[in-house]
Amino acid sequence: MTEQRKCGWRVEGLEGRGAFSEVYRVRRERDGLLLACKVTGERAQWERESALFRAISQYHHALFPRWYESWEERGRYCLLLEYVAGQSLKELLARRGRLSQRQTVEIGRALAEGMAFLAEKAGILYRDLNPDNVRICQDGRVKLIDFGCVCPLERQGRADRSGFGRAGTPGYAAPEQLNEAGRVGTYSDVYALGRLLHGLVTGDDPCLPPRRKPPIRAYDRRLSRRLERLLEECVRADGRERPPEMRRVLRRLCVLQEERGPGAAWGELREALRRGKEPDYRFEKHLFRGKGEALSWKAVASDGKL
Amino acid sequence: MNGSCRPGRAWKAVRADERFSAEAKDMGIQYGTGHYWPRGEKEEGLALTLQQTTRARGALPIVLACVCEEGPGVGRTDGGTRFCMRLTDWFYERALERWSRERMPDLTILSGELSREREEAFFSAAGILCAGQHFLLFRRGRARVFLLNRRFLRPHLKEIDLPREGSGRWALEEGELQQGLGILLETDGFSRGVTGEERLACLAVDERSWGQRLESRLSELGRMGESRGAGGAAVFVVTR
Repeated sequence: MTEQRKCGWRVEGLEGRGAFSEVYRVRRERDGLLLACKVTGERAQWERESALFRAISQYHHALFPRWYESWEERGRYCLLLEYVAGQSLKELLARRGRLSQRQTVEIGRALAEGMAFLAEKAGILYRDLNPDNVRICQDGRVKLIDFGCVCPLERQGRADRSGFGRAGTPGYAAPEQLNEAGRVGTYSDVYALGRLLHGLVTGDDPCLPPRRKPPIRAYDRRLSRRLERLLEECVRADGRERPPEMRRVLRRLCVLQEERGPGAAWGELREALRRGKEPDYRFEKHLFRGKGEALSWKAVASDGKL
Repeated sequence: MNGSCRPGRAWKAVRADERFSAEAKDMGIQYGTGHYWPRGEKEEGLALTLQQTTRARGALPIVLACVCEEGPGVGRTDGGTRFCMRLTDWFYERALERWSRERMPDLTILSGELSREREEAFFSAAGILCAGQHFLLFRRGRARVFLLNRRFLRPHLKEIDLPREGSGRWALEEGELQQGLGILLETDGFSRGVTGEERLACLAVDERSWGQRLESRLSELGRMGESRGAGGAAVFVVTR
């Protein structure tokens, strides 16, 4: 990339490198604003991303980095975007191994909301959802980056891939996506989201064999049955058997997000009582049954302590 | 909150000034609780919460019991399950903490919580909150509430007809449970599987095993209903 543009930008360093592009940190000298500049030699990809950002920039959606400018310079195509400070989900998983159900559902909800927006407002299929393309900002916000694989949606949620070819990351891309003749649609992004969330909550890398992963409760019995059912439906091989659109996945994730579980408050209270000098209560029965999830506990302490 | 005595009620109505009377009379009371939960796919659309504690200082028994059933057909929104969860959370987060600070619980806080419940959520529920001898009954939709009365020579079962104010609104009743009385809460599905005579015969157990055997009898009743194709849940709270 050229070291400095005439309009007063300074390149601070290389942020990352992909197969067809590089991303630089650039600072506007006028006010010190830090941005990201994506540089690529692929004109078609640059045009696609520029058109996408122009289409969605008016909505200022929280999931997508803000777009500032696009230009061409000596055969290199540049895209100026909001700089997303933070770490990718891949880096986060490498550090932590796996995330909690609450964190997974929160991230899933943010992604589902954004991708539903992409499909409904911009008529776009993302096609490359994977932990490398999801960044978690320092303030906890989720950002989706890298729109090099997007393609337009046509009727009935199906995509026209002519001129866009195969795209996606093995392990996350739906079976029909990796097949030249397969028909992709919004259900393809649903598949990728299911694989991503499965990997987050279990720590099992979808890129590693076996391709067909066990249900999430096989890894941890404390995980929600409802989440297990949702993820199992999302990653079905036949796209017609998955939730057809991201909006439906979002709705179910919202329900899960409200589901703190009846044990949460009781557990917090018990801990609070343990820290106290004397327990105020002797718990004789603590039972909740609902929607196939059973949580039962019974404790009677002979000395009145928990 | 209407505290006036209704004709034919077996429990004693509570005046506002009686709520804050000495705790002594509440200390002698003990509760037995039990529940019935169906097996397999019949548990779809149901929710149940049963929380029983005893306040160590003062030995005040506190019970929360509630059964919920979702509305039929495509309108299922998990509203009943979420309500049960919120109710349980509220019980531990607000109610117990408040009772640890006050001499007597103010049961109207529950009615305030219920009034915030969205009326359009399509589910039926029946529940009871007991603190010492005081109780608050709440119900909406088709769930049923029965009074178990062992104070006579033979056990007596009578349905409590709480005033209905519309399909989505809560019906509330407050009072004092004396020794020998109990409350049985059933979902509509459970009720449709048994007759009144079967219910009475099944629940007629002797005084010494009032709580423990009652649960096993309730299970028999529930399985009887299941064999007839009905499904549902039930919970009881009895004094002893």
